[in-house]
Amino acid sequence: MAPVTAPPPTPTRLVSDLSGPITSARDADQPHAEFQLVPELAALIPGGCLRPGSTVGITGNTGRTSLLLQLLAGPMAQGRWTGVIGMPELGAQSAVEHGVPLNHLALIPDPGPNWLDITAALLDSVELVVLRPPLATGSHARCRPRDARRLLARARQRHSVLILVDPAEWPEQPDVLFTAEAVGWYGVADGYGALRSQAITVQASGRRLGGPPREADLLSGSSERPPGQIQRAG
Amino acid sequence: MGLASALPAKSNERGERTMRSAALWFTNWPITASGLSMADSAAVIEGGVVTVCSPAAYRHGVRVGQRRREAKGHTPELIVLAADPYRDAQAFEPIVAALLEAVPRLEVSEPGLCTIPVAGPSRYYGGERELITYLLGLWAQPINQTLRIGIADSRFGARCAAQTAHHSTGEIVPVGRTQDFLAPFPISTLGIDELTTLSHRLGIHTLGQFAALPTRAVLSRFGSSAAQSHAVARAIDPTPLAIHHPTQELAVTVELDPPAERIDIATFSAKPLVTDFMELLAQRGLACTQLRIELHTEHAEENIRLWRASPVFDGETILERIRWQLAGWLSSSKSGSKSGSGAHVSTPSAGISLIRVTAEEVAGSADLQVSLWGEMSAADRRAVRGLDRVRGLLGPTAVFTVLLGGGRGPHERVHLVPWGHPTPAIDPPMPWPGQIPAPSPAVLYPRPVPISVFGANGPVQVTARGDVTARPTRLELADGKVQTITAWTGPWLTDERWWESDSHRRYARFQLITTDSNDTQRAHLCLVQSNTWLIEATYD
Repeated sequence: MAPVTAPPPTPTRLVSDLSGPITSARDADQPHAEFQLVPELAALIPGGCLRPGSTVGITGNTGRTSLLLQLLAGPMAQGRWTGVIGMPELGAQSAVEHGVPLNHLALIPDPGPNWLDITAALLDSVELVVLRPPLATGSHARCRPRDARRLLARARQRHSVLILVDPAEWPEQPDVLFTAEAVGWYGVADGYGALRSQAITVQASGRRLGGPPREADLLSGSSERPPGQIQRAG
Repeated sequence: MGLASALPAKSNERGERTMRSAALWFTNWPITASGLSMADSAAVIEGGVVTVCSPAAYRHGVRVGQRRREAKGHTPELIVLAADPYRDAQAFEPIVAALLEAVPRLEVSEPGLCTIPVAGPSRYYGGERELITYLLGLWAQPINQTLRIGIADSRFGARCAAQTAHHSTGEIVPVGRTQDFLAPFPISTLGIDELTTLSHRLGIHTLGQFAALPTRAVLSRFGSSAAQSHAVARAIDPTPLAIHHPTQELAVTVELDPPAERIDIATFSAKPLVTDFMELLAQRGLACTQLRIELHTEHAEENIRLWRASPVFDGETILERIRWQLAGWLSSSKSGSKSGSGAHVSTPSAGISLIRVTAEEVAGSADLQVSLWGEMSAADRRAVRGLDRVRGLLGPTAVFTVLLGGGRGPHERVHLVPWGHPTPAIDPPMPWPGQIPAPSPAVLYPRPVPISVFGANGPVQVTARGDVTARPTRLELADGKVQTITAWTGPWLTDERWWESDSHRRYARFQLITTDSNDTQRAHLCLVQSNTWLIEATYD
C-alpha cells in the first residue's frame, strides 16, 4: 500500500532549480542539435539526449504526465518550442513546477478529425510535438501504418521529435519507450496533512538502447517536512 | 501621473481599436540639430551614402541614397555631416520640453518625430485646426519651417499625413477616412523589406491593395507579423500586437552613488538596470512597446520621457534611449537658445542619482514575445509561422498559449489564451490565500469527473460545520469501477464571494490516495459541493 509514513527520498533536483529563466533562445538555433534531457532522465538513454527525428513513446498507468513534463523540461530550457496535441487536461501549473517555460508551449486540445495533418504541420515548425493519438472509437478511425510512417518520415526530415502519449494503438514502434509507474505520494495521512511530493519510477526500453531496461526515479514536489500538521478546517 | 495615465482608445464600427493621433515631424532634423538651416546645402552621410539632405542640397541634385562623391559632384559646397543620434536627441530635448507645456502626453519615436493623442488637446484648443495652428506657433522662424503636422485615426496614418502636410497648415485626415487616405501610399511605407519584396512579386503595390486582402488570407499566407502590418494599413491602432497597460508596475530602478555628472558614466551604470528590466519582462513573457524613463538628481530635479519602439524594445534600444535622454538633459543649456523655442529647459544642478525604467505598455504572451521579423531566432520564427498555419487550418480558437494567474483552485489559475489574441488582464500569480500547496496536479480534467465516496456506513458527506460524516474508504466512478482509499486529507473549506448572492460558492476540497483492483495507485484532488463529489484533478 502507499508508504504513507515512510520518509520521502531526497530529490536530486528541486523544482526551484528547474523553473529559472530560459538561458538563451538562440542556443536552439544550432541546426539539428540534440535534445538534452534533465539529468534524471539523461541517465536512462545513451548520451542523455533525444536524437533529432526520433519518436518517443510514453506509457504507464500513473505518472505518465509528470514524466512527459520532465521530458519536455530539458529541451525547452534550451529555448525549444513544444506543441501538445489532444491533451486538454495538461496541468499548466504542474508544467511550470517541472521546469517547462509556458512561453514556448502551444496547446491544441482538440485537433479534430484531421489530427494527422495538424501533427504533420506542427512537425514542420515546432521541434517537439506531443501527440496523444485519439482512440479508435466513434469518428476516429485507427491510425493506418502508412499514415504513421508518413509522420515519422516528416519528423526525420524536419529534425523534430515526436512524443507519443499512450501509443498502444500506434502501428509503429517508437525509438525509445518510457514507462512510468507510481511509487507513492507523501504527505497525506489519515484525514490530515497535504500532498508534499510524488515519486515515480521510469523505465526506458527501445531498439537502440541495448542491454536490459534501465530505471530511474523521478520526484516532484518538495522533500521538506510539512511545517507542523496542517489543521483540519471546520 | 499625468504622463502615465492610460489613454482611452476608441473603437471603430468594426470594433477595432483606433486612437486619433497627431504626428509632429521635423523634417531633416539632423540638419537642424547641427545648427544649420534648410537654406544651407547640407547632407548627412552615413556609411558613404546620403541619408538626409537639406532642400537646398536637393535643389542642386543631391538625393538620399547617393554616394558621397556623387553628392559632392552636384554641389562642391555641400556641408557633410556625420550621423549622430546623440546630437539629434540632445537638440530635440528643448522641443519636447516646449511641447510638454502645450500637451499633457507625448511619445518620442525618434529625434525629430513624435506623436500626441489628439482627443484632449483638440478640445482644449478648440479643434484640430486650432491645435495645429497653436503647435506651429510654438516655434520661431527657422524651426517651424521644417515642422509638418498630420492628424489621422492611427499613429501610422498621422505619420503619413505629416509627410504630405504643408508646413503652414498641416494635414487633417477626416475621422474614418484614414484607410482611404493611406490607400495610395506604396507598400514600402510600412518599412518591412521582406513584405515589400513579396507583395511586389504578387502584384500588390499600394497599401490600399494590401488592405483590401482578407485578414485571414494575409495571416495564412504571410504569418502574424504581416497580419499586424495589414491592420496598420487599415488604419487600426496602435499595432495589432496585443497591447495592454500592465496592471502591476513593471519597473526597475538604479541608484547612482556617487551621482554621475557625465553621460557615459550614467549610461554605464544603467547597463545592469536594462538587463534586470529585460529579465523582469521575460519572466512574465512580455515585451515592452512603450517605455518611461525617469532621471532624478540629488536636488530632486527630474526629467521624465515616454518612448515608443517599433515594434518592441530590446535591451540595446532601451540603453540607447536612456543615453539620448541623458544627452538631452545634461547638455540642454547649450542647445536651448539655439532652438529658438520659448521653453526653458533647465540643466540639472547636480549629478544624476537615480534612473528608473518603467514599462508603460506591454505586449504579452508567446506570440508577441517573439516579435516581428528580425528580432527572434530562426526556431522562434519557424514555430510562430507553424502555429499561425495550424490556426489557419483549425480556426481562431484551436491553438492556445497558457498564462498562469492567481486563484485558489487549479482551474482558476490557468488561463488559456487563443494564439494571437490579446492577453487578458488576469490576477497576478502571487501567493494566494487558501491555495493548494505544490506539487500541483499534472492532469486537470476540463470537465470534473463525478464520483461517489463511501465510508463504513454509506456515502460520506461534509456537514455545514465542515466535518466529514465518516472516514472515506472507497470511491466509485460513474462506470462502476471502484478505487479503495488508502490515505486522505481534508476537507479544506472555501467560502467564496459570500458577499455576492449570485456568485457565492461554498465547497470543500480533499486529496485522496487510492488503489484499484490492479494495484494501480492514484492521487486525486476532489471537490465536494452540495454533497456532490467530483474529481477535479489527478496527480499523475
